Amino acid sequence: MAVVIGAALGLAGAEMQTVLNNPLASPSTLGIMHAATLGASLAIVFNLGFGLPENYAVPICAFAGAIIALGAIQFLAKAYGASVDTIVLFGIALVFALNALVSLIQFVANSDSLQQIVFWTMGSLARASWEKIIIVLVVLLTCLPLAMRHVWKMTALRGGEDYARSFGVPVERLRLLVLLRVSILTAVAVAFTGVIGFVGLVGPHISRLAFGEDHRFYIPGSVLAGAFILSMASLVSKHIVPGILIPDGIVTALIGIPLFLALLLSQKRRG
Amino acid sequence: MTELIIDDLSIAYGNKQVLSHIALPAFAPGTLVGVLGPNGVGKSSFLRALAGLNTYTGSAKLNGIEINRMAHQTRARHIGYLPQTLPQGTSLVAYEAVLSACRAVRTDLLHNAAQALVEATFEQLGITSLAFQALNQMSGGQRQMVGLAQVIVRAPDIMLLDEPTSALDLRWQLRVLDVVRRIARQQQGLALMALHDINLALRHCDHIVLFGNGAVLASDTAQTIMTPERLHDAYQVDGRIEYCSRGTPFVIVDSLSCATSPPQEN
Repeated sequence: MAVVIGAALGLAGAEMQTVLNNPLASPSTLGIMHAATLGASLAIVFNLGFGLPENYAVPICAFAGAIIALGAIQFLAKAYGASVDTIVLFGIALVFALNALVSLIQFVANSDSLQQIVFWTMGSLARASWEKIIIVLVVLLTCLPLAMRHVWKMTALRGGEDYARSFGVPVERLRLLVLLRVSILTAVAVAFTGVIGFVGLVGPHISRLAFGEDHRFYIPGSVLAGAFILSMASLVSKHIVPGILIPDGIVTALIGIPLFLALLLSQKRRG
Repeated sequence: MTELIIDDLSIAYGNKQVLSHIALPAFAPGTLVGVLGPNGVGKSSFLRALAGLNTYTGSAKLNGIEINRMAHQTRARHIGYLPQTLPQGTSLVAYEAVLSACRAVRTDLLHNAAQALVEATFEQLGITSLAFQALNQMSGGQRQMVGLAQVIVRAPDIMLLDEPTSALDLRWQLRVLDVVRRIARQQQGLALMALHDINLALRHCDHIVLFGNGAVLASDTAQTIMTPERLHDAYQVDGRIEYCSRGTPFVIVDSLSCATSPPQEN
């Protein structure tokens, strides 16, 4: 599960950083993860089952939340022009609104539900099953070839939007298409695991340091880096305290961020 | 053979009219056209419109096809546009930047053929030593050369270059203008360049289009276009036109005219 979720988040982060022209962008930038958290929180607190098997009620509500957020961003971006600034501003507004709603739900939740919500937001691979792995894998194997089809256009975009447009890249359409793909990847990944935020941000940075920004290498590199980071985090979370499974979201942040900073600083010193 | 016909072309941003009713004669294939005029007069808007990146009313036809009705890919195949801004300073190396420009447009090319074109372009511009340098480690002039390589590698019928020499020293200015001239001649194409250096334009271009007050003030050969009156009308300066020993005209500015308005913004 760690390999496919990490790969999906790595791919989503890499594409997001390119189309939003922002190295700080990640699958959580536009509120997709927050919307999934809201969906999951609603399912937990109000016991929304919709007749679904117990294991799938929360993931499906999380997925539905993420897809609704995606629809809102796509609609607003199309209605008001799909520039990077517009999309990021809508995303930030959405993050604040969704955070407030999640807090409100936590406020009215009983202690059992509250504990479940908090655990969900920490992100954990413990709820993995072969069915879930196959679902994420199918989505990943659908999205990855589509991303690879756009590698030249995405590489051209790194030189600047005006340049890419002059090469015949329909920048706005490409951006909306990529955001759709990223949102579906993120929604599927977090629906089954909860919030794992660090991988989608750092996986692409590691790939960029190793392979540069030619997207023929950068995209597969981000997929591998994401898979590697989350696999390592999963191993550590199982063995750091014998008998206790620490949520993977916590481990990725606590161990991964110092390692990532060390990598960045050593790169700067060499450069 | 490339034919560009511009008739009654107007460009506006919202309610603000930038250029009105521009009509230009068809230029002979291989012509280098200098686009001159003061800041904010609409030179960049004009080139962007011809590149299909700004909307316009009226008509601008390349080889009989209205530019704003061309598909993205077709337009990029026939029109090469160099923006005024330099390529973004990223960790992308120059070779990858130029190869991506080639592959994004020339989807018909095999990878080896595209690589050969990229290498030939670097050689033609004399920037082979920059090929594996990252854009964020280059000077402004070097990035401008990479931007130009991204245009040339696609072998477009028409090159629209917005201040292609703004970040270059004298030697590289001459090199760039020579390469552009050679390519335009070889391909029987056209090159339209927005320039601020009037003397550079008079020396290297065949034809000059002089913009002023949102319209074409004059359109003529580089040899005859500039007069003290036109200089005054376009730039609000008093000056003289002298001729060097080779017969090339050059402009000497003596003073500002009495009433000088501040640079405009588009």
